[in-house]
Amino acid sequence: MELSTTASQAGRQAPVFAAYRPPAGMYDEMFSAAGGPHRWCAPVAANLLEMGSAEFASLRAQAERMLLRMGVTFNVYGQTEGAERIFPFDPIPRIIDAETWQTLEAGLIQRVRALNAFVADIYGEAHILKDGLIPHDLILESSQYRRGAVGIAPPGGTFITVAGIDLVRGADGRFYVLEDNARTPSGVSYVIENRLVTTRLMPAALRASRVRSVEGYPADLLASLVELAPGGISRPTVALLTPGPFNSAFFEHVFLSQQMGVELVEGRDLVCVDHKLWMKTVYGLRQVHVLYRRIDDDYLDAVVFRPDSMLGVAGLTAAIRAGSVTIANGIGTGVADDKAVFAYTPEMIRYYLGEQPILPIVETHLLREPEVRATVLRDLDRYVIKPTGASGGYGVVIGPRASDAELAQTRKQIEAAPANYIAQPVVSLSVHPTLVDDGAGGVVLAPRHVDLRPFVLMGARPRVLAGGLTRVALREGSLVVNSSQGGGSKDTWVLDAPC
Amino acid sequence: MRFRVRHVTRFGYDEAAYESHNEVRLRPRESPGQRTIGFRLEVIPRAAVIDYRDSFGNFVHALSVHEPHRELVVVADSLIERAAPRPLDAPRHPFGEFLAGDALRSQLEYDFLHPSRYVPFSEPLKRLFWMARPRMNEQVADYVCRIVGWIRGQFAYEPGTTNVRSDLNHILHAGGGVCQDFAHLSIGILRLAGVPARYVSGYLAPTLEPGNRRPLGEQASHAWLEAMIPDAGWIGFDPTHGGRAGDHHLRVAVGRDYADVPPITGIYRSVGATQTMRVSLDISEPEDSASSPLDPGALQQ
Repeated sequence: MELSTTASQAGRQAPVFAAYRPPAGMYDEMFSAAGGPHRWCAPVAANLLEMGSAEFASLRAQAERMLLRMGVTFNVYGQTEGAERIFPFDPIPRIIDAETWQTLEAGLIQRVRALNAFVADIYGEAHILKDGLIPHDLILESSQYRRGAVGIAPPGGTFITVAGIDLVRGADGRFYVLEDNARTPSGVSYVIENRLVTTRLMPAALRASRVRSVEGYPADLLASLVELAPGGISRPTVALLTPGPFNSAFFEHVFLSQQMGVELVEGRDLVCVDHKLWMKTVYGLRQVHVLYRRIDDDYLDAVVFRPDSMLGVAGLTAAIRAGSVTIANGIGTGVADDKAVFAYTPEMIRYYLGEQPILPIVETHLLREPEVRATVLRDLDRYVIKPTGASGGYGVVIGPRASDAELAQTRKQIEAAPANYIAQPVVSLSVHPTLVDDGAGGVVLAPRHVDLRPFVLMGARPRVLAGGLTRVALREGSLVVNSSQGGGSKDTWVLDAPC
Repeated sequence: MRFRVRHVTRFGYDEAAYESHNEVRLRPRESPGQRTIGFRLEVIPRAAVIDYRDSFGNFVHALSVHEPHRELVVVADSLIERAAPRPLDAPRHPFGEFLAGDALRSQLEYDFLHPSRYVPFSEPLKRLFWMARPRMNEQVADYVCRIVGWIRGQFAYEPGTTNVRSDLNHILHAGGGVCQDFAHLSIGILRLAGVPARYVSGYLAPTLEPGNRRPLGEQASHAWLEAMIPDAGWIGFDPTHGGRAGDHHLRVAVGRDYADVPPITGIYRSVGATQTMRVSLDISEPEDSASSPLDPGALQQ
C-alpha cells in the first residue's frame, strides 16, 4: 500500500517514524504503551514507517499548497493573502476505531438530546429550577440566558440543531467531555477540507482503511434544517445568515451555503413583514422558512435584543413566535453551554432522559460555592480556570503554565466575581504523532496534544458526522488547541465497522 | 367595580416611517381581585398582530407595520373588573422568623430580590436602607407599610426632575421624582430587607361621580409595587400615596422594574429625525355593561 502517490521512493532518507517515542503518562493516539501501533492504526503506521524526512516534508508541502488554493477559492471577496488565515494542517491522520466511535456517537446523541430538553425546559416551565436541581441564579444571571426567548417552542422542541461537543482523551484512554458548543459552533468546514486533502494525498491508505466519509455533512445539515421547518410547509426555503466577511468563520458560511445550495444572506438582505421573514431578491421578496444563523443572539433582532445592532433583522423574534420561521440554533441556547451549567450536565441527562450518562465529563468545580472556591484558591496553579460565559478559549488560564502575576490577577478576578468562573483539573490530553520542523530544514515526528470536536445534528432524528475536527496544539507541550490560539488540525478517520 | 380604559398612543414622524416593529404591553393581566372582561387593540395603519405572554406572564402584542406612515396610532380599550383589595388578615410573621426562610426564597423569587436595571443596589440606596431597616420583631406587612409611608414622607412628588430612564439614584440625588421613582426606590429597600418586591405598571382611576368623564392626559398612568407577604402572596402598595394599592389601582403588567414593562417599545426605519408621542387616557366607570359604550361581546376576549 502506498501512502503518497508522489513521494519519491528512490530518494528515501532514513525513516523518521522509527525514532518516534510515545511519551509516558499520556495516551498516544497511534501507539500503545507497549510500543507498537494500536491495532486499528497498524496499516497506516506500517506505511509511515517506510517514509523518510523528505517524503514527510513533501507531503506537508503538498497539503499546504492545496489548502492555500482552497482558501483562495473560499476567499470570495479577494482579500490579500496575509489577511486570510489558513488553519495549519498536519497530514498524519488521527484514527478512531469503529467500536470506540459507536460508543462516542451514542454518548453524543444522548448528550445533545438532554441539552435540548434542558433549553426547552428553561424557556418553558423551568422544572429543573423549581425542582432545585440547578440554582435559579445560575441561569437567571447567566450572560447567555435570554428572557426574550421565554415561551418560544420550536418544532419538535429542538433548540440546538447543530452542536459541537469538545472531547479530550485522558491518560486512561477514555474520552471525556471538556465543553459543549450549543450556539454557533464552527470548524466543520475544516473537517471536509482536510478530507479533500487526504483524499488527494493518500487515496490508497484511505480506501484500504475503510474510512467513513464526511462529505455528506452539508446534505445532512440541510436535511435537518428542512425537517425543522414550520408545520405544513413541504418545500421550505432555507437561508444562511452571516454577520459578513469580517467574521472569522465567514469562509465556512460561504462554504456551507454553497454546499447546501441555499442563499447566503446578511441582515440587510432580510426583512420581516407581517411576522414572516422575507429575503430580498431581484425577483422581489421571497419567504424564508428556516434560517441557519451564524450570528449571536445579541445581534439577531433589535426589537428584543441590542437595539443598536444592524447585523440581524428587526421583528425576527415575533416571526419565530408566530410560527412562520424556524431558526437554528434557537435563541438562548447559550445557557446550555455555559461553563457553570456544564457541571450539571450529567444530572441533566438523568433528569430529562432517565439514563446514565454514556460519556463522562471533565471534573468541574463551581467557584461560586465558598468551600469549593477556598480549596481551588489554595492550589490555583493546579487548575484550569475558565470564565463561565465565554467560548473559543478566551479568558482561559492554565494554572501550571501561568506566571505568578497571571495567577495573582486570576485570583483577584475570582474573588471579585466568583460565580463567573469555574475550575477544572489539568487534563493530560492525549498526544498524536505530528510533523514538526527539526530546526535543520527537515521534519520529524513528535507527540503533540490533540482534542476532538464532533458535530451533532438534531433534525427530526439525530445525525452525527463521523469523526469531527481533531485540533492539535502545534507548540511543544501546549495544551491549547483553539485555532485562535495557534492550533492546527488533522483529518479524523473513523473506521467502518467490520462486516 | 368596573372601569373602561381607553389608552391612545399616537406617534408622529417628520418623514415617513416604515418597517416598524413594536412590542405592546397594554392588555391588563389577570390577577387576584382583577379581571379583564374585554380587550381590544386597534392599530392605524393596518398592522399584523400576534400576542404572547412574556417571562413575567404579561400579555404582549407584537405589531408589524410595513407600509410607510406618518402617524402610528395604537388604541387599547379595556374593560376591567376590580374588586376591593383583601384586608391583610393572613397569619402574621415577625421579620426574624421570616428571614429564616431566606435561602429558599432567594432562589424561588430570585428576580424580585436582586438588583435590576433601574434598581441597582447602590451605596446611596444601602445608606437609605440602613435608616429604614426592619426591626426583628416587626411584622413583614407592617414593615412594607412603614416603608412606603416613609418614602412618601422623605421625597417630594415632583414631575420633571426625573425621566423614564432614571434609575433610583436619580431620585436619591434630586430628592424628588414621580411614581416610577417612588416605586423603584421602595422596591430597592424592600429587596435589601429580603422582601420580594416587583414593579407594577397600570392606571390609577380617578374617583369620579358616575357618568362624569373628563380627559386625563397621561396623568392616570401610574406605577406602584407589589411585595410578597408570607401566606398572603403579592400585595400591592403605592409609595406615591404612602399606602396600600386600592380598588382604583388597575394593574397592567409586572416586572423587576420599568425596563420589563414599557407600554410600547420598538423600532422603525425612516430618513426623518424626529418622532413625537402623545398619549391620551380616558377612564370611566360604566354603570353596567348594557350602558357601556364598549359592548363586551364585541371585545377580543
